[in-house]
Amino acid sequence: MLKIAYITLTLLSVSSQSLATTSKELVIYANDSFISEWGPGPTLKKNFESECNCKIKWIAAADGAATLARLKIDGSRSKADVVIGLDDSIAAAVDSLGLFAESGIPKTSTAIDKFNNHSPKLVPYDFGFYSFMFDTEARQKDGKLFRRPTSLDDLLTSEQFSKSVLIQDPRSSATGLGLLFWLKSVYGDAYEKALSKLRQQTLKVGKGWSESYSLFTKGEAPFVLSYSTSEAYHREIEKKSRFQALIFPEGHYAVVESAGILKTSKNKALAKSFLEFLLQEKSQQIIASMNWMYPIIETTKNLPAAFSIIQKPNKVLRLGPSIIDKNRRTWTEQWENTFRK
Amino acid sequence: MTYWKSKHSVTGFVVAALLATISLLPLIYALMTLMSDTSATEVVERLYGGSVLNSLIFTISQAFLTAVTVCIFGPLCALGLFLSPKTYRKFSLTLRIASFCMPSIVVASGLILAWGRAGFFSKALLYLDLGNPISDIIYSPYAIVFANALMNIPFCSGIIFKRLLEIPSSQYKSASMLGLGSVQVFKTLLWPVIKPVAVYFAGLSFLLSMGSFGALSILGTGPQSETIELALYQAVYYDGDWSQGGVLSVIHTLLCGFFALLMIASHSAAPIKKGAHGDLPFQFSFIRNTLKQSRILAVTMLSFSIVLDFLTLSPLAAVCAEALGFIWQKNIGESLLGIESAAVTSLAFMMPAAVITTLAAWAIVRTYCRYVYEKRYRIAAGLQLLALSSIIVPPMALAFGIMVLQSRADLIISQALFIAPALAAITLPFAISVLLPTYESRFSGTNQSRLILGLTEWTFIKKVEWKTLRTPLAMVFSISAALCLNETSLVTMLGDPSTPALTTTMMRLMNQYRFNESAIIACTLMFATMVIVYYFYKSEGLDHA
Repeated sequence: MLKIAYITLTLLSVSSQSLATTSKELVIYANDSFISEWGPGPTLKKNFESECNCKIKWIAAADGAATLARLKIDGSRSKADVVIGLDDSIAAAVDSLGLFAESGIPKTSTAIDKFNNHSPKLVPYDFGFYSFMFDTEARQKDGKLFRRPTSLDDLLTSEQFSKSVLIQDPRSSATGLGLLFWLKSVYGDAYEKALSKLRQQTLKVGKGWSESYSLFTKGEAPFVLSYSTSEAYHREIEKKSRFQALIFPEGHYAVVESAGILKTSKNKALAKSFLEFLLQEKSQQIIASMNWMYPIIETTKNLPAAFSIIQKPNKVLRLGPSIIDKNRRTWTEQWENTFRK
Repeated sequence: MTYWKSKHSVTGFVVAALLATISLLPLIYALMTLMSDTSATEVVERLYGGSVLNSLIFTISQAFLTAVTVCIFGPLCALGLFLSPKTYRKFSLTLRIASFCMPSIVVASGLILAWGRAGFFSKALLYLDLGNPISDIIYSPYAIVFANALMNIPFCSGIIFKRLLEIPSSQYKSASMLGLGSVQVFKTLLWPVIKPVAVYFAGLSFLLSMGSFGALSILGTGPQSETIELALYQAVYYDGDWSQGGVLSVIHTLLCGFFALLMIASHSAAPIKKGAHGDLPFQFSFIRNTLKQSRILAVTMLSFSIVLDFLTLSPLAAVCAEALGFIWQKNIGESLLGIESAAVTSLAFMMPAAVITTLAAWAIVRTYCRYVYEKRYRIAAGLQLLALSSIIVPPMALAFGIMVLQSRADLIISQALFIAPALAAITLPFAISVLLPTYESRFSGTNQSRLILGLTEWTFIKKVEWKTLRTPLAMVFSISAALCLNETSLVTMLGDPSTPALTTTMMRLMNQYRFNESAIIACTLMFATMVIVYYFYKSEGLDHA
């Protein structure tokens, strides 16, 4: 009997010790591309875990739009503490859900003000510009190289570029939705006409950015909707200048990626420290060199050399949050109607 | 006759009812829940709102085109098999049966790798200064019809080929003695067998194309080629719009139910002959000689058959080449970490699902045969309908129902735990269609002998049925395992994102711009399917043909 009591006590003490030493777990919803082995996720996880005595558990979603849908489904029962990879094209929708808590991080810690940030509860951690990437070695059916389009209008109207552009579905992809904002910013009332032109030039509408981009790099099409910083990746990692970003005189739409703390999180303090960690200079360098977007804080230290080679747009385009919130659905439906024909 | 009143005669009903509950109950619950949230006016508005109607039209038209293609080319390619050399025929049959169980995303992504603008074969055609019509098809709404046809025609032709060999040799001998010409032989002997199988497979292809998800998610061209299945995925996975999901699930289920009933009705009228393997070499040479009587027709059939095999093989070969290229260039061990856990997840779904399907099919088939033996046809038909009811619920609608059930009913059980029984419910109709003919041919009339011998039910199962049905049951298990292993939509929707299955990992890798790594999983799935299907092929006695 004594033996049993002794064993039970030993087991209890061991389990209580192990419980005491078990570190907290921070559950983060993130995009597939962010947490893949070539994305910044694994390095950031390693660095943060070494500081916080905690464990990060990533839960992957295909895209910001998929994360948003998952948040809607989870509602107040979400297991996540932090959501990362929220493109500001869906920031208004995120706000309306009322799922996010105040982050408690002062806005002054980022250089975001110049882009008119959409959501007060979300913390921006990087930004970039939508752009079409061009395969300089792509050939037409007659074997001749494609010429470089001189403007957005040239890309959308020239017969040479018919069925040559890969874009993403705005209903399932943040980049796809960003393209609509870009077109609206450039064409204004002639937006629907621009959509019709885009329809003529489109080879395939992908569900997400990665799918379209992999087809592009395989050589299936000479143009793909992406970010201007995608060129930096090819120059820096692949040491290739074959894939180049097209910078147009009409201007480029700026996109900001943010993270937020869920109201239901039981680890709010830990979640806040993770967001602060994202804004540290070292983390920002990791994000810039692995997520291939510009850092949100003003730093030029230790950024990949390719960032100084690639062109930045001369004209930056943005739409106000209220305009986006009011018109997002209508613009998407107009796109849907045009692309269904 | 008192024996039939035993409790064992209801086992099939209990099993069928359980699986029907798994497939129908979540959807019914979801609809009841959502009906309270959505008014009738809103439902009508959504229905006529544009996108649903368009998806509906595209879904039906692409499924119809696929069915017509299968109906036309299936028989032609089956007859072409008789004219090809024996070694090639063996390979061709394995390939054709395997193509049906292959994950549709493997075929679809392989089509881009092989026939896309930068594909292997496109480059070869460009080098030879030849056009590439397939490349244009791949980037059009017809791509889905092409991919669906490529997955269904080979299987249909393989089964027609097998059925033609099952015609009793005496009939061929009579035709030979009477000196019938090729047209007469075709009309009187071959066509009555080909017609019901071709019509049945056209119906099956129609149903499968209605629920096509994997191929469309790769080859889709946006709103222009959006099926109900994809619209449902969009509504639930991206928009989080469950009301729209409910409307789409109902439409999809009603459509599938309607066409499934049509298919079952046409199938029950089909006089497919069974168990006539007798003088195979004679039957074989007779058909071959008959076909050769018209040289033009023979060449056409052979050409169709070879082109079909080439088109079926090309995406699979392209996927293999991509995987091999990756292995050659990189350290595979480092980059494929995580795939082994995906394989374990897949096995965890596949094995119980295949076991449940096999046992359920066995229980249902033996109960069904007993009622038929007793001439209680209405009860037998009722059991058949109950057992096949799961085919009317498309996987995506089923997944949606389970998601609503799990979240709204506050079930503590994880969604992932529903996967194995749901997979079993989906594959049950296929398992029954494989087991029923064998059971009918081997056990008709044996129950009387069992009564005379005074064997108990359990002893009969152990001593007689198990020994006789071991091979057919293994065949049912292997086909169910292959279908469960390669199922995509249900596993994608319900699986835990932190422990994805092989098909989900493959889709995720493709979304992560790691196409060549996803090719390695595709190859793994492909070879696993080939091995399983080769066993099916051996068990069916097709290797003697």
